[in-house]
Amino acid sequence: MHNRLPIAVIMLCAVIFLSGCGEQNILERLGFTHSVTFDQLPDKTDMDNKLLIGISVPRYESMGKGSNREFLSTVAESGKEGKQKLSRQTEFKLVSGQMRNVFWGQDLAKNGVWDQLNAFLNDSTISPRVKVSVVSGSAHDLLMKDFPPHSRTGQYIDRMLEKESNSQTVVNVNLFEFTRDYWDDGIDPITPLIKDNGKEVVIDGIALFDDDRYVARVPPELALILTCLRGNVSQGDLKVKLSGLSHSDEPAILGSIKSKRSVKVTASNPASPLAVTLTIKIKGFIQEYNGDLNTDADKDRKKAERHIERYIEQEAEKIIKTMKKHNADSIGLGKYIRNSMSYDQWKNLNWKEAYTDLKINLNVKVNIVGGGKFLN
Amino acid sequence: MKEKLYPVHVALLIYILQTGVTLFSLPRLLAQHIGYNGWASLFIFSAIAIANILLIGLLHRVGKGKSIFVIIEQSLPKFIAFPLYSILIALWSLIGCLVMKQYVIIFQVFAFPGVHPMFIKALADFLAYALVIKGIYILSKAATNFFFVLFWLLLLLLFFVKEFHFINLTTFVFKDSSDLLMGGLGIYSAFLGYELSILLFPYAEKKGFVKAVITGNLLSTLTYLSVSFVSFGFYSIGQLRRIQFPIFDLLAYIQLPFIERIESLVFAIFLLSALIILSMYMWAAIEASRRIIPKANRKKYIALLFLIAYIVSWIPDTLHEVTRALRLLSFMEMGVAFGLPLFLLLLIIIQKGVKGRA
Repeated sequence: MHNRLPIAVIMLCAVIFLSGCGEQNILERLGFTHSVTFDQLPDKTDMDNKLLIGISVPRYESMGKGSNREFLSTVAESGKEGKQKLSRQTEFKLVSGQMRNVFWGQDLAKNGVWDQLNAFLNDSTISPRVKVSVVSGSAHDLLMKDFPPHSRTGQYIDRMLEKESNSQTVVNVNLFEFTRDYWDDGIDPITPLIKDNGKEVVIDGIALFDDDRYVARVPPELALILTCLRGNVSQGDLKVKLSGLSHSDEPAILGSIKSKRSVKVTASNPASPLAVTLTIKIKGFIQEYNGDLNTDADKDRKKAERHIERYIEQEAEKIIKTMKKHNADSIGLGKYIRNSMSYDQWKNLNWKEAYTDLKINLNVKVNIVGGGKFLN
Repeated sequence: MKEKLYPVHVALLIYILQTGVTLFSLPRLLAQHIGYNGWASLFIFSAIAIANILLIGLLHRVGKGKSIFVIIEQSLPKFIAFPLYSILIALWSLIGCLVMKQYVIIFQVFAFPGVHPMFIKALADFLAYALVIKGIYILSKAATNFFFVLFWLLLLLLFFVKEFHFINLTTFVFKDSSDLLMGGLGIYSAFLGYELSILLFPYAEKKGFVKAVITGNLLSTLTYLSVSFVSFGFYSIGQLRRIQFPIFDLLAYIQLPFIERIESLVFAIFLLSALIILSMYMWAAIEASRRIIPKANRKKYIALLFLIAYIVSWIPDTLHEVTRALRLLSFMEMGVAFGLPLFLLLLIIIQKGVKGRA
């Protein structure tokens, strides 16, 4: 019986090692697609619905000399066709396992992104954590351009989005999150918006979607307030103004904020207009305030808190107005409405229609935890 | 070989037998067919399985732990018993082979897409053959070892504590269901595997046998429940309905500082489970066929059965075909799971009646 052990070991080794001969992928011969762009072609005369697809592939062997990335682009009807066409332009075998970013051009995003997204979700080699963003303008041109001293444009944008999302000035949305919100009937997706600013790439705000169509933009100054409306925030610096305090608004920074959002449905009868109360509790440190109030004194601090609350409420109202105007439920109020109803009520409700009539009571509570290390 | 299977071995064997590839699509099946909060229906499915196990337990007690083949042959002539065995042999060997084929085809979504699936399956079949010729004791011990490789994977779910949103669960229960009967049977097939415990009667310790099978079933239920519950809170229901294998995407989402995209790694570990399922169903088929040809050389005989099943499993080619064939077979197997113990109980009652009259 024991003499079978060597045979078993040999078989096991054969299974493990020989399987490596089945399909070979040699690192040096692979082109790791880092970023992909999709644009709708502007010329629609004979190329209706054609896509302009671009990819950026880092090249490691040319470090220091020449370009350290390869940018390929083609026109195709679908992403898969595009991949085949792109493959004909390079000596590398193009693979998608290391993909980090997908950029949609503004025009394509306005027409709907689901077809492109669907192809990505079908590909098992693509990570669900691939970031998605909309480019104000042409995504192709943005990725093609080099932005010295930043070495590779794709990586440069990727790292910027990563860093900025850590400080909550922009949302970081990946394929999974976008798809989750797209298929949820109680919320619409959002993505970061970026643009070419000449010498560098800048974050241009947040793109709001109605289903899979990009419909409105929230400017970068309001991005953090939108994030607070959408969920809890654990860090970030909020630029605020102490509205109506003196002849001009006094600017300040509410730093290291922690914000908690809660939603309460106050009227859930589908026959009459629905209503929700949105409460946001923000705690933070006051920084860079040069106004007349002494925020270290209790009385003035309370006063400052009220003014900041008023400012945030005003700005949040603006965002809500934009969302309602474009029928984008970007903060997911539909989920709460849904959970307050019976299944039949929800199914019979046209949420998108009800959303425009939805009454949203905003309730912002600001708590200044402290100031800087230097007393005013 | 006087050694008996201890209850712990039986429990872990049943767990591995139940927890197969279906796990990877289970949350989708629940979302599609049961609807909102479909994960909660697993309690019902598990209860049905336990009822069936209790039925098997009743047979175990009434038949005093006798082999089912002995019970059959005591009351039925060979010309009735042998066709019955033949059906069971065909059913069990095909289930075993197709489970492995399904595993291989899904595996090729990530790795070795260029290799012929039947080549990989041949390798897996060889491993299973090596297990089966060793007999049920070694098989159950292998299953015990594999259990400790597989069970800790549940800890990966802790990663989703932050990504889990109760609001995604919604307040609706079992709404928006579709194709409830066929879908429900499909979901129930995830629990199959326990029915082979009926063949373990002569090999297992009499004491604690039924409890062990139920424990195995409860462990599988725990696995299914936790995985499905997390899926329902992680995905939106519309999304969950459209993802072929939600558990892959779940695993693909895990990002650790030193590793990510672990879905192919984890799925590779499930080879162990597929291996045990294949081996156990083949073992079951061989148990039945030994009643027909008791004197054949055991190893050659097992090899022949593997070869036949291998050739038959060549026929369904695509994942769709394999899944459909497997679904059909698992429906039949459900019939066997409930029907066989009932039929045997009936035989015993008749036997006792005849004896009582004589």
